[in-house]
Amino acid sequence: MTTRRWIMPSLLTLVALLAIASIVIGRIVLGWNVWLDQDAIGRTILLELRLPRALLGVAIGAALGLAGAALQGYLRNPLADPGTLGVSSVAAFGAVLSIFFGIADLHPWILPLSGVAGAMAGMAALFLLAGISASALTLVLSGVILSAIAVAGIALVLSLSPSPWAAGEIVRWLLGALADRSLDDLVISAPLIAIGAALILSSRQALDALTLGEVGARSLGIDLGRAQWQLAGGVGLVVGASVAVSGIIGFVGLVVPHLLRPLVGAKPSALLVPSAVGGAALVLAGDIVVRILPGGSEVQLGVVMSLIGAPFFFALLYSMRRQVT
Amino acid sequence: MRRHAQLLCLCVALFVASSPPAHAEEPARIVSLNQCLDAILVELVPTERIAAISHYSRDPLRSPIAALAQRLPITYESAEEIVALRPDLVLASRHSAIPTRNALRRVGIHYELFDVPFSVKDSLAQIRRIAALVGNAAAGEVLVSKIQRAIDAARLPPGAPRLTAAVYETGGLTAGANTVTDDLMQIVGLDNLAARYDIQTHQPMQLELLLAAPPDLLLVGEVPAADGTQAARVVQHRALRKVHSKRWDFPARFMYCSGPTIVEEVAALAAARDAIYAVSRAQAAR
Repeated sequence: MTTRRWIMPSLLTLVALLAIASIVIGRIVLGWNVWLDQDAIGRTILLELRLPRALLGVAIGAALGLAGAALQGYLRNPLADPGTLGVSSVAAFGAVLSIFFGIADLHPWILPLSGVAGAMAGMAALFLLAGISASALTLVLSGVILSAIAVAGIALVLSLSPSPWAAGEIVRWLLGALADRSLDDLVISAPLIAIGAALILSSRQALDALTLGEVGARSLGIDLGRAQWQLAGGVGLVVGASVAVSGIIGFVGLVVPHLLRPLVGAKPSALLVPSAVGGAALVLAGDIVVRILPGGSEVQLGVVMSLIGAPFFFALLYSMRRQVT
Repeated sequence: MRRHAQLLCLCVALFVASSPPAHAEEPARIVSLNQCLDAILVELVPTERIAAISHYSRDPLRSPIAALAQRLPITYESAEEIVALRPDLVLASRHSAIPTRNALRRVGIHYELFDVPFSVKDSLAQIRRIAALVGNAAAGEVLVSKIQRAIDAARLPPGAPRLTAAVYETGGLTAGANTVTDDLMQIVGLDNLAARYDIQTHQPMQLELLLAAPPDLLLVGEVPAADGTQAARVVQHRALRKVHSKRWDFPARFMYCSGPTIVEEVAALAAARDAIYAVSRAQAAR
């Protein structure tokens, strides 16, 4: 019980520290006198590049952590991650299409909005495929189908791309990064993430009841159909909005709930908010790592997340296995 | 209302960009984000006016201006670096990340986007566009006429037979229709096998197609020794040994960058063609 009391304040402190570090660290070294010297360039870098990047790191990390915890709770399966429902792949496909047709350059809003449109289309397809009163299994299988179609679509677009440069442009975006994002991206994604998070958080009662199984939950008076679509809608919104801005950043939604479960207990609803804060911390930390890694070009955040995430996850599983046996 | 105004501005800007600029205000701090644009830029302006070029230009294997690039500042295409250089003109290609271009636009840095040229005409137009942007149209014309002289010198002599040829780089990549390389092959008197199979731009070509109708000339990229990658193995595929086409060294950098590179590329194509003529003349004499 004592651990639970300090976990939230320390996570929030961690996020605050990492956010400050994220604003301070970068390729161009900014002095403390950015404000005093009327240094227009320094101020531009700070306000237009570093600040949006840090804020997006918080928003997207929180979105991925929250979605991961919600899905693991709902499906009662620790393998679920934000990509499970396929919405992230369809969102990526939407964004990739806008690059392929060359409209992404017309206005900075077109690329993220295409991603959001893709996420919405993905959610609509999920409803159609799974039906309103779907079981969790049908929902997951529909997600797998959606994901397969979207990935095939992305591969098709890549192979049809008119030049190696254009293909590179698409791949670069797909790998997932927060580099050079702007406040526009935050303005587009943050409201959708907020609505989605509200939907997810309002279904916490159902999540807890579901630990007793579907029958048990129903006997507690939970409207499972409604709870399910509230969750799916919420996850679709938060994940779609993040993918639309940053591309696909893997592993965050999978790892963070596992990290925090031993600290906050197994109750799914108690895991939601800590997972969001933990996700924010992890994405911020990863985004700082890509900037301080040696070498010229920045490594993509999505790549680093998987590179660090996979061995870490393995170590975690290994220690858990030892505890059980 | 504001959105409409922005759209209007964008259309006007596009229109202005496509017509030659009326004023000749010379940008003094130019940043280029692409190796191919770098190679054109260094021909058109003195190095003092170049604030930075792309880091790819320092690659001694792939860059035609590697030696010069060692002395010039570079960027790694991040918006932070570009903003800190306070450029008055940025030359960007489709290779640069979309968020980076958006960030430049937001900050109010003038950038121009260039695509891969699909023909010699495109490439020369690209040179003229850059020359106009940097306020040195005359230097652009000098470079264009130098390229045109090189092309004219490599033209197929009247009466000489046309040959078939194919480019085959690591990974099976070839230059199909709608590429500068295809254009140059036509001029030199080489019929491009890849274009005949309707391969568009730079795509891989199936080895089968090559084996079914081996061309007179096979233009292959350099294969680094002891390179065990799948990409390199395709070029050294067993089946390729059965192809008795004349092989000619054709570096991959010819395929991606045109502009000043055309001079070297078209000469290489003509030399390969003449080598085959020499072989057939020798056989006829025997």
